[in-house]
Amino acid sequence: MEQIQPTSLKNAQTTKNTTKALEDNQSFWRRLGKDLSVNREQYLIFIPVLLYYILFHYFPMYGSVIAFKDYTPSAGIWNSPWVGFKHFKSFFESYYFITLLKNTLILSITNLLVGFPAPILLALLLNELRSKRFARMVQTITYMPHFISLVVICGMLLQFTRDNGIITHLLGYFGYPQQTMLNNANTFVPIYVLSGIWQEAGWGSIIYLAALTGIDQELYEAAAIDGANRFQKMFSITIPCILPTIVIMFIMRVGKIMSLGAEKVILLYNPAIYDSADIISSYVYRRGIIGTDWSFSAAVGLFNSVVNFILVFAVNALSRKMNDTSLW
Amino acid sequence: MKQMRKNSSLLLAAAMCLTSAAGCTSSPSSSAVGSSGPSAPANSSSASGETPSTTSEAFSYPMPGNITLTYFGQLHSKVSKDYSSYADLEVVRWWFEKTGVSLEFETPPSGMEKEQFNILLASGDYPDLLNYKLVEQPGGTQKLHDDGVLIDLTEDMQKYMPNLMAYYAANPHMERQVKDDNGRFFVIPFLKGGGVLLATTGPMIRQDILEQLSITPPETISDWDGMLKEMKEAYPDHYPLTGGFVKGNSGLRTLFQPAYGVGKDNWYVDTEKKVHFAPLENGYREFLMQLNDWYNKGYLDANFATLDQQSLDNNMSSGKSFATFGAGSSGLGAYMNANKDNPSYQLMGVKIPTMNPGEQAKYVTEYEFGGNPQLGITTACKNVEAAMRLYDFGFSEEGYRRFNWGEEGVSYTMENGKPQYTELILKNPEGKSVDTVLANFAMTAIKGPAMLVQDPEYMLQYYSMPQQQQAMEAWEDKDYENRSFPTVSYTSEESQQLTAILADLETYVEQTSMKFIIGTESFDNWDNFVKTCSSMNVENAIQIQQAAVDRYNSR
Repeated sequence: MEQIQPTSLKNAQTTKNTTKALEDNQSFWRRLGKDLSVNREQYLIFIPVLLYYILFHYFPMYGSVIAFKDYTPSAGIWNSPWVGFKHFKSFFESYYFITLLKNTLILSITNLLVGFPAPILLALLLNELRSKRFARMVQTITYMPHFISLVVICGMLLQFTRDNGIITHLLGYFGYPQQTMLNNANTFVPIYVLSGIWQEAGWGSIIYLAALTGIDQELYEAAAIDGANRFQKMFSITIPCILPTIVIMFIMRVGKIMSLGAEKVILLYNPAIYDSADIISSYVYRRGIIGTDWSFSAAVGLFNSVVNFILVFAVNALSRKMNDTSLW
Repeated sequence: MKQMRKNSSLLLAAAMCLTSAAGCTSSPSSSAVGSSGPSAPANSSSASGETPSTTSEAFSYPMPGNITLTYFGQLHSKVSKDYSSYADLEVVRWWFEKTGVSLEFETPPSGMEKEQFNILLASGDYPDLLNYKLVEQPGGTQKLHDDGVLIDLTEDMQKYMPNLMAYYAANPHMERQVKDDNGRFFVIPFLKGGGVLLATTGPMIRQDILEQLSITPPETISDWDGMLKEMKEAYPDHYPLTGGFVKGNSGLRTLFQPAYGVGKDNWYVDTEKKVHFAPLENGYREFLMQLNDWYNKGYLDANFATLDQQSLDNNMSSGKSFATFGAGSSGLGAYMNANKDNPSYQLMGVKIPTMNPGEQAKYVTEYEFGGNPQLGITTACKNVEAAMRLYDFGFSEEGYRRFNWGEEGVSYTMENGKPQYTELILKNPEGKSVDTVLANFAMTAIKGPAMLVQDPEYMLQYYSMPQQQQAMEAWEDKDYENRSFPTVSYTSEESQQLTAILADLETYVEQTSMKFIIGTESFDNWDNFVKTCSSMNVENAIQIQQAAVDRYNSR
C-alpha cells in the first residue's frame, strides 16, 4: 500500500484507503498531519494545483472589495475610501437594472434549455449510426466551427443577417421579411442561441460519446433477446446509463448561467436592440472598461456572481434530492 | 480581462505598501527629487533619477545625459501601414538627437487603444508620458489629476517650456481652451492652426451620379430629400445614403442634426450661452423623423445600425452608396484611390445642409484644441524637465517648421517666402503614398509623438487631389462663430455626478433614437422618451454643464 502507483487514479485510491484506516474521532488537522507523513509524495504533486487556485482564483477575489469603495488607481485598493453599498444601490435603482436582469436570465435560460440538449441528441444520433466511418466524418465536421474564432463567427453572422445576407435570403423562402435581422430586438436571442448550437454542439457531444462507449454491451444483447427495438433500447438503456454524466454537465452549465461571456454579445449587438441584447456582463464592460467606472462595475459583477452562486446551490440541492447525483 | 485587472490592482496595492514603507525610512532623500510637482503622491519617493539643476536663462539643446522616457500612445494608422514604430521615422530620430531626450514607445494594438488605456489607468503602473485624447476621458483631465495620474504642469511650464508660454501669450484664445477654470494646465496640446484645419470632414456625394441624373449639389434638407429620391428611383437596389449613428461613428448625426439647429451631438451651447441637451429639443425630434422617413423609403442604408467603419468604406468605394459623411483623407481620398482605374468615379464635397438656402450650419465647427490627442506627464515621471524640454521644442520656430514641413531642400523648398512640399512628398518617384513619405519627414499628419501647432497651409498642399481641395472649400462653409460644445472642466463632485447620470442617459438616448429611426418605437411615444430622460436626472446634468460653460466663458 505504501508503494507509489504510476497513475494518479491509483494515487487517489491509495490516499483514500490510508485515510480511512486512520481513526475517525481524531481532529481534522491531526488526521491531515498523519496523512501528510504517510502520503508525502501525493501532496507534493498536489501543491501546484493548490497554488494555481490560490493565486489565480482566490487571491484575486480580494479585489472585489473595490465594489464597496470609491476606487482610484493612485490610492490603490486599501486606501480608496469605503462607501458601503452605494454602488449596489445605484445599480438597483438604475433605469437598466430590470432590463439587464431580465435579458441575462432570458438569454441564459434559453441558451440552457435549447443549447444543452443539442450535444446529447447529436451524440445519441451518432451512436445509432451503423457506419463508423460516416459517424467519424460527421463528428469531425461538427467539431469544425468550434475552432473558428468568435470574432470571425460574429463577423459572418452580421454579414449573413443583413437585409441582403444569405440567412435573411433563405428565410425569405418561408415568408420572412427581407430586413436587417439585428435591427429587430426579437431576433437577437434566436441568433445568439442557434449560432451557439451550430458552433458548439459537435464539440460538446464528445463527452457524451465517451460516456456512451462505457455502457456494457451485454445490456443491449439482453435487451435484444427480450425483443426490444432501437427506441426502447435508447430510452431504457442508453439514456439511463449516461444520465449521471448529463446531470453533472447540467449542474456545471447552470453554474455558468449568469456568467455568459460579454464578448459574443458585444460583437453582435447595437444600441437599437439593447432592449433584448444588453446583458449584465456587456453592461459591466461598457461601464467599467470603456467608462472607467471601476467600483460600480465591480459591484455589478459581484452581484452577478452572488446570483450565480445561489443558482448552483439550488440546482445541486434539487438534483441531490431527485436522483442522488450532485457535485458535492 | 477582469482577472488581469484585479491582479494588477493587487500588485499595485503591494507596490504601494512597499513604496510607502520605503518612504518612511528614507524620507529626507525624497524631498531632494521634488521634480514631479507639488501634487505627486507616494510614487515620488521611489524616484531615483537626479534632475540636473537648471539655470533657466542659459539653456540650450541638446540636454545632457542620454535621457530616455517611456511613452504610451497609439501608433497612427498612417504610420503603422509602413513602419513598425515611431522610432523608425526620420523626423522622430532627428527630434531625439536635437533635444537629447528620447522616448521608448509602448503602442497598443490598433482598435484596442481605449481598452488598453483604461486598463493601464487601473493598473496604476504608468509610463512617463501619455499621448491620448485625455480630455475626453470621463471627468476630464481634472479627474486624471485628482486620481493621481497626471501632474499639474502649470508651475514647471513657466520654467521649462518658454516656447509654449510664448505661443500662449500670443494666442490667448488657444490658452483659454487648454487651461482649466483655475488657470491650471494638465496637458500639452496638439493644436490645429485654424482655417481649413477645422474643415477636414464633411458630407461627400458621388458627382458622376449627380451629373448623370442632372441634379445640382444639395444645400438644404429638402434638396437632399429630392436628391436621395431620384437616386433611389434610378438605382432601386442601392442605398443612396450611408453612415453610422453611434458614438465614435456618428456621421449621420454630424451630417444632418445641425440643420435642425440642435448641434451635432448630445450637447450644444446656443447663441445666448445657454446649454441644451439636444435630444430633448423639438429639432432633434424632427431630425429623427426625417431619418425615419428616409429609412422607410430605403434611402438610408438599412444596415446602418450594425455598420462598422470598414463596411461603410466598402459601401462607398464599391459604389453601393452614393453619399456619406467623412474625412477628406481617410474618406474621400481613400475612396477615390480605390477607384483609380475607374475614371467615371468622382466624389465631391458639399456643405453641411441647412433648413434654408444661404444659411450656415451652427454649433458644428470644432475647436482648435479638440479632436486631437494631448500629451500628459504622469506622476511616474522622474524627469519632468526633460519631458517638458522635449515637448517644448515642438512650439519653437524651428520645431514648427520641421514638424510641419520636414527638412528644407528634401521634403520642402521655400517659394515666395512660403514652404512648398517637394515632389518627393507629393509625387513620390518610388510611387509611395503621400501619407507614407510625409510621415517619415513631418509629424503634422500623424498627430504624434511630438505636440505642435499644425500649419493650415500644410493641409492645403496635403490634400493634393482637386476633389479634396474642392471639398475642403465646400466644408468651410459653416458657422465659425457659434461652435460646438467646448472642452469644459468640472469639479470632482460635478464630474462624479455627471458621469453617473450620463452613463445610463447617453445609452438610453442612443438606443431610443435608433429605435425611432428604425421604427420599432413610434413617435407617439416621444413624450415618454422626454419623461424618461427627466427621470434619469437630465435636468441635473444640464445644470452642471451650464455651470461649467459659464466658468469656461469667464476664463
